[in-house]
Amino acid sequence: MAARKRTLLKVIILGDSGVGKTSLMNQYVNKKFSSQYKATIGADFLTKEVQVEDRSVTMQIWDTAGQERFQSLGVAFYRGADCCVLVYDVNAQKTFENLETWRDEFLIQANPNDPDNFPFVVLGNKVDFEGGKNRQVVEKRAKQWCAQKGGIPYFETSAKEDINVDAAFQCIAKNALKNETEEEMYIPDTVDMNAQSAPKRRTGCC
Amino acid sequence: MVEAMGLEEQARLLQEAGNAVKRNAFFMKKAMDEDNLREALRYSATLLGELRTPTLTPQRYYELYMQAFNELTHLQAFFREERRKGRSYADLYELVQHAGNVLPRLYLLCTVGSCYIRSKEAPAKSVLKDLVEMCKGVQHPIRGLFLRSYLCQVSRGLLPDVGSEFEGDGGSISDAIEFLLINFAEMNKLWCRMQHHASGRDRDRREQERQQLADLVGRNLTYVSQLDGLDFALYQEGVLARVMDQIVSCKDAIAQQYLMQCVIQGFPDDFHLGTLDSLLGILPDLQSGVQVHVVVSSLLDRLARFAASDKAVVDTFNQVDAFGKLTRAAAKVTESENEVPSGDVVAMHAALLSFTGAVYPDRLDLVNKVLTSAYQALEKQAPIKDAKAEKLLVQLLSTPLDNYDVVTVLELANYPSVMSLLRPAKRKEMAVKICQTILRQRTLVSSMEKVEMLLDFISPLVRDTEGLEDDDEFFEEEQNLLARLVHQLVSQDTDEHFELLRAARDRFNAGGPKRLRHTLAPLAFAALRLVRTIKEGTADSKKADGACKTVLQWIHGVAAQLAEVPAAEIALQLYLQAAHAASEVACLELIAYEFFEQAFILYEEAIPDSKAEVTALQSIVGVLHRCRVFTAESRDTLVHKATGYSAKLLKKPDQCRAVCACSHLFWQELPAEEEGDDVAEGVQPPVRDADNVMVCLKRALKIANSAQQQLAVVLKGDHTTPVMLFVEILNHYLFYFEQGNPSITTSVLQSLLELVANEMANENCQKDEALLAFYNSTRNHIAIQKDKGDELAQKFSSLQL
Repeated sequence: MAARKRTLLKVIILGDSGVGKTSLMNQYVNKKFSSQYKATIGADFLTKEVQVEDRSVTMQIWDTAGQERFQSLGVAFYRGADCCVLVYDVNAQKTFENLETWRDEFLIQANPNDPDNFPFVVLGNKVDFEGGKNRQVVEKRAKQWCAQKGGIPYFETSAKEDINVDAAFQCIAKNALKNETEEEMYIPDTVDMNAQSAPKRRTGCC
Repeated sequence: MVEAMGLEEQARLLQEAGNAVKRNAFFMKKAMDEDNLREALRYSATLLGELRTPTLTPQRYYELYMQAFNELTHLQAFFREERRKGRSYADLYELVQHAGNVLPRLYLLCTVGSCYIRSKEAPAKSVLKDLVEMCKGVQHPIRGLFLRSYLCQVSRGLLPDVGSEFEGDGGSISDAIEFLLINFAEMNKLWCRMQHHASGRDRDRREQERQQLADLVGRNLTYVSQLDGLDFALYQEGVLARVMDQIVSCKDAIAQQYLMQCVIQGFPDDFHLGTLDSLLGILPDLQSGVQVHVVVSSLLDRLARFAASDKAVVDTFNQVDAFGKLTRAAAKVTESENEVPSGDVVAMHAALLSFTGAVYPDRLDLVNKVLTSAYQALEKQAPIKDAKAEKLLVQLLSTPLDNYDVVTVLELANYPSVMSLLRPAKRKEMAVKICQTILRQRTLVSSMEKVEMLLDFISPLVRDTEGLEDDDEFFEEEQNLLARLVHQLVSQDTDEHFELLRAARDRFNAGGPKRLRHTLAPLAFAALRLVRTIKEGTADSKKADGACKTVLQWIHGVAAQLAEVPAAEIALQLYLQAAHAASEVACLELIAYEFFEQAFILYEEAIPDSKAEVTALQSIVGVLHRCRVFTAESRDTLVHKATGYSAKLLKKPDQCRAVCACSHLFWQELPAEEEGDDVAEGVQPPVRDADNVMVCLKRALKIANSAQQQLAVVLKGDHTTPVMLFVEILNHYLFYFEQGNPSITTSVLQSLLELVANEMANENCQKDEALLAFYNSTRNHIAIQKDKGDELAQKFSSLQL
């Protein structure tokens, strides 16, 4: 049983309210888009089967509330994430500036084994908006930030026009898979004392 | 109930429960590998039994839930595997119900249920209905909330939504909505019931826990709003009514506060525009603990952003009278709850104002309505002392200043009344801001109505305000702002312009002497400029004279008032400037004479010290020199007075210099050539009285001499001032010499030159650098004139240096 292969990749999407986290996920998973703004309350995921390097894996994509008031339960679901997607709106400077906070917060809360090499992917969304006339963050600036943070892959996307969404998630899946850490293996023997006292019937193993 | 315990204790409990989950998961997976369904189910039930813990706080419980959740995904995969091997989901659905305890049983049921629906062995709607009903079996709030949250999570994507593969046989969108709304209502009941489980000291902790659990309840609404088939009609009829009903009937302030936010944030803008009546209509039915203003502000902010993002939607706003409805709702909030903190009232109106600005950038009347509403809501609490409210109110008042030019803002009749809600010091700050904005934007305020409004707006600068000490360090700066502002009160029409200044003066009068000292002079100078505009712009000279006379008379009054402030020196300068304008611009001799007369009276009666006298006399002589309107007789009187004053100055050097200056009163400049014959009516020919010039200069020499003797006696003659005077007199001689004044002959000049050269030979003079420089440049001047080779050079040629 030790060979049970991990096939579930957990991906968390973070970013300010209104940058298009839900829309990106919906475009990717359901090929659907709605331009209406609807705040996401709490956090939940959608799953999608993907092929990565000849492996079939299930991506569990967690969409989260950008509005702080709808994060009442905290962020326990960060734990065990294989990749974190940071999304900002290229037409809103502030959402870009806040990436730093989202990243830091994620690293603190998710507490990955190797924070320096934890895979992030940055998406600059809404590139279609008004033909880019109102862009506030230039690609170069975003790429510069990504480079500073240890070479985070960067994609310019439009959930509305389905630009670069598949490519971005393909990269997300690939990096998540690369990160694949050995799942913490539970071995009952190590808690033998407990096992003895536990009122549970044991089957003969180990 | 979760008892109070430390963080460490919570962490330990979570660790223990987590380990139990891991241990059972291990055996569960082992059983799966061994294809032992019974054992797998047994271990999974034990694993899920950990979720029955009564001791974890919601956030810790959530962590444990996440752990169990992850393990259950393996179980799902296993169930799919089982089915492939031929076991039906109906079978499994029955089987898992053998689990002994209700909570694990229901988790397992939900897990199988989701697979069951996915397989389409049974219609989605029946399974969903069954599950959502069965979950009623858990009535413990935290457990129930997480169980139902699990139900939603596993059934996500399995609802018979429009376009979904589960639509049709599986049911319709209304089944999907029904499922989610029943779940929502059940969760809300569980959530609200927690409130009653607490008493006394536990209450705060309980409320905190409830706040943490809020998203589990609200999440249902996100599921509803994300249904593809949810159109407006369905929302209005099938969703909103029921959600609102649930919100009202739960009678729980925490739930109402939160769920209103969820509805507002979770559903699209156009839905809100179509259901404003329901949304706002519910507000009066909410519990007294609900902060309704927060709800209204939230809706306003949202709609404002909507309007800003797409101008086309403004029509929709109009169709539904969004502004009217929201304003009335805002007003109602402040009426119904007497205890709304002022900060919240202001915040709501600030939201209303930015809403108005975003949706109706051109509708000033609406901005004014918001201000009226704000004033009415806050009137009773004035002055606003709460720091947050005060800050917000200043921001609220600044918004129109930033969005419109000040003249436009002046149309907001209720702006000053809202300002009056502020404490005096803040009110003054606002007034300063308004002035600065006008000056920065160089806005001209051109109508009487606007000027009156402006002066209302900035009244804290114009007059004393009760409760405000004005003798602070900024007083002068503020009054200077006001003084600068006077020059922005300008109309194209001279009559109206004059009226503006008169109106301003009437208001300024209320400011008392300490302000008038700063504000009267700019009024008078603005009026002097007006005299010129009238004279130059009026074709009919009689009419022009009349108009100028009126304005000059008014200036006379202003100067007189200034003298009484008392500010005699400024008043004297003002009389002189007015005299000059009366003479040179308006050519009104009598009025010019009157102004001089008043200036002389002030000189005699009100100039405080000898230094001020010197300055005043210099000004008098300077202006009189340039006035050309006087006939010989009046001129003689004025000149005689001025020379008389010179002789009476205290210090000899001052006397000497004043007399030199007076010499010029007898020697006016010739009119510039282009003026030629075109001299205005009433202008007298220039005075060129060589004899009297000479009399003055000789007297100056005499005074310089006597000054020298006086100093020699007292200070042993090492003082160079008298020599300086000689050099100065020499310069006057040179001026007249060049002007061709017949009294100054070459020989007269030569002898003065020698006298000065003699004096300069003195050792002390050679050490005085300033004097030396002055003397040398004077000599240089002569040398240059000699070299010029023109007519004048010939005159200079016989001079010997």
